[in-house]
Amino acid sequence: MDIFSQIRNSSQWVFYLFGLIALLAYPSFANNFFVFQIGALSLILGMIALSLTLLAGYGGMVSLSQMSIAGLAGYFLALFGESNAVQSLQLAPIIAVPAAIILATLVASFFGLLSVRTEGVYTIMITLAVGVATFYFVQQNYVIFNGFQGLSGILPPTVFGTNFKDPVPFYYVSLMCAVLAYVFVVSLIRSPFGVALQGIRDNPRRMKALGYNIFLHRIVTHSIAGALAATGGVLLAWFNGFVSPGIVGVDAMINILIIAVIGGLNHPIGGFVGAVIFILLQNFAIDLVGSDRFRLLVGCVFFLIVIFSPNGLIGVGSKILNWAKKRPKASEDKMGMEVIKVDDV
Amino acid sequence: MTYALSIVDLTISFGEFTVLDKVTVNFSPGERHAILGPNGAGKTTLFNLITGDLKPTSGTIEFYGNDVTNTSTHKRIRLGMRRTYQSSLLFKDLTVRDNIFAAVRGIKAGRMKVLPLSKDHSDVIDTEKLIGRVHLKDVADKKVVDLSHGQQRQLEIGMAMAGEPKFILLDEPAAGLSPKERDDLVRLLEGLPSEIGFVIIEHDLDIALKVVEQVTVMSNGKIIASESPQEIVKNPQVQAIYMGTHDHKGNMHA
Ligand SMILES: Nc1ncnc2c1ncn2[C@@H]1O[C@H](COP(=O)(O)OP(=O)(O)OP(=O)(O)O)[C@@H](O)[C@H]1O
Ligand SMILES: [Mg+2]
Repeated sequence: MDIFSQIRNSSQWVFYLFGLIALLAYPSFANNFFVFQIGALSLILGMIALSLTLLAGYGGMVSLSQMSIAGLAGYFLALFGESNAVQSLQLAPIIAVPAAIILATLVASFFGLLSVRTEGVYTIMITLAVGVATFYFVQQNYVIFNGFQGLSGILPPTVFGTNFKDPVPFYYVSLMCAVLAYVFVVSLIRSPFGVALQGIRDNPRRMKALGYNIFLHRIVTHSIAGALAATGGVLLAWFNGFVSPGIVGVDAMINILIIAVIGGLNHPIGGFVGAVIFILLQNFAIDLVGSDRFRLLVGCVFFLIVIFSPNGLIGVGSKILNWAKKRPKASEDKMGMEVIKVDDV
Repeated sequence: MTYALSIVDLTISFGEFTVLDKVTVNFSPGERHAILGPNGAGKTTLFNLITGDLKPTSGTIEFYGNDVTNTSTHKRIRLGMRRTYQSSLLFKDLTVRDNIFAAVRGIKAGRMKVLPLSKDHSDVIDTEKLIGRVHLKDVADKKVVDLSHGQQRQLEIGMAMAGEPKFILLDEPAAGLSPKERDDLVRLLEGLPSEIGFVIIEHDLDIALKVVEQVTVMSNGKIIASESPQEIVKNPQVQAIYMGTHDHKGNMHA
């Protein structure tokens, strides 16, 4: 039942090995723009989307406030650590970073507490409401959050002469966090907690009748997802160098949902796949269709994926794999049909 | 003596409609008891109240001396209460093994553990044992959706047997089973350790009367008789409401 035996038993480990090698080697053949703006940002947003995958895909709780948690972690980092904010405590990163993540995790637990007694669309509405409240709060509070200007001068530390603001070191820090988060989530969903979480998603009433405290389970999941989102939020604050209300705005909240859904909510890799697609579209589609049509394009991609593959791009991938496996048997000219039918639940 | 379950004046109404009306009934530890009654009599509703799936309008429920009337479901389960559901409530997308595992873990302190368990952890072993006890070894890795109806009912019972149950509520476990599967079920129930009591809602008298020592008949939200199996078949009130008058679900035997 442990993840490593699972990886060893299947052919997946080849996929993991090559994936990891490719990610490690990526900076040696990509330029700084691709390493930083595309690579690192995809990993960061992928992590935040991963926290939503855990909540929504495995816990059945579609939360829109994951970006709020990430954004707040960035704010807390600016307030605790070194930044231009006059109210900052200017603590060393070794204290400021964990403090920011812990505080944001507490906020996530509180948001969880507010939402876990709701189901389905009501969960979405409550988390949207707390997210919007967060946005207005940081925008209108000047004493701590400095209103619409936000807080700036947030810099990653320099360790042993390596400046982690430089694209390649920053990429590797992001990669390390993302891989750890990914491995953690993959093993979490196979753990007793994870099996229980999926049980609660599918059948809360039955889980109660097996002795589980389902509200506690959901709140803890919010805390875990909060810690993941907060870690992404710290990286995002370093990436941008500042935090402002826009980072926790409704657009940003929805973007995380779009990323997670595009990638696929039924596997932890989905958030990262979605993030890469989203970031590529954001950077290059603007040149093709213009910035005002970017949202329309993202909307169309979202629409197509939701219609044709409820499991996101991951779903498309596994359909193609399944189809390739079945190919020798069904080699008639029904190809198109096959791809859509296989595994379509 | 403390009863395993002591139910006093239990009433539940949905708006104007009183589904259970002052039901009073006691079950002793280790007692095996059947509940009969026509459709809509309130049998499942009684179970839902006992487990806390529904809250009563009035009345009390005691489990081994603890008043659990306002206790949340998961706490009642941790006290040793178990149940199966009439329309199966299984985790359809999880494997048989994960379903049983979830049940084994539900009553354990480590249910929130975030690290995977080692292969020789006692819960992993208990899971395998329980899978064997309900004869599901061959399909342990299958998802529930791929099981036959009979196997799904077996799994329901397996999940109710996890941990150390003190008292099990079985809601029509034999519904839709083949004759052979029914025999297996009877053997499974007879083989339960004698200190484990159960209440079985069952339309098939053959099964009910084989495995129980006491029968309660419900009708219209009320208990109309509670007697031994030998007496109950002779009770004229019961015969009038329940037996000869209509062929209940097609499996009623006079
Ligand atoms: N949540 C509810 N709201 C309103 N009415 C309900 C509710 N639950 C049950 N009832 C009603 O209570 C009555 C008893 O239902 P219950 O399911 O307990 O019957 P039953 O004895 O288990 O019957 P069956 O043999 O069909 O399983 C039915 O008339 C049902 O419609
Ligand atoms: Mg019923």
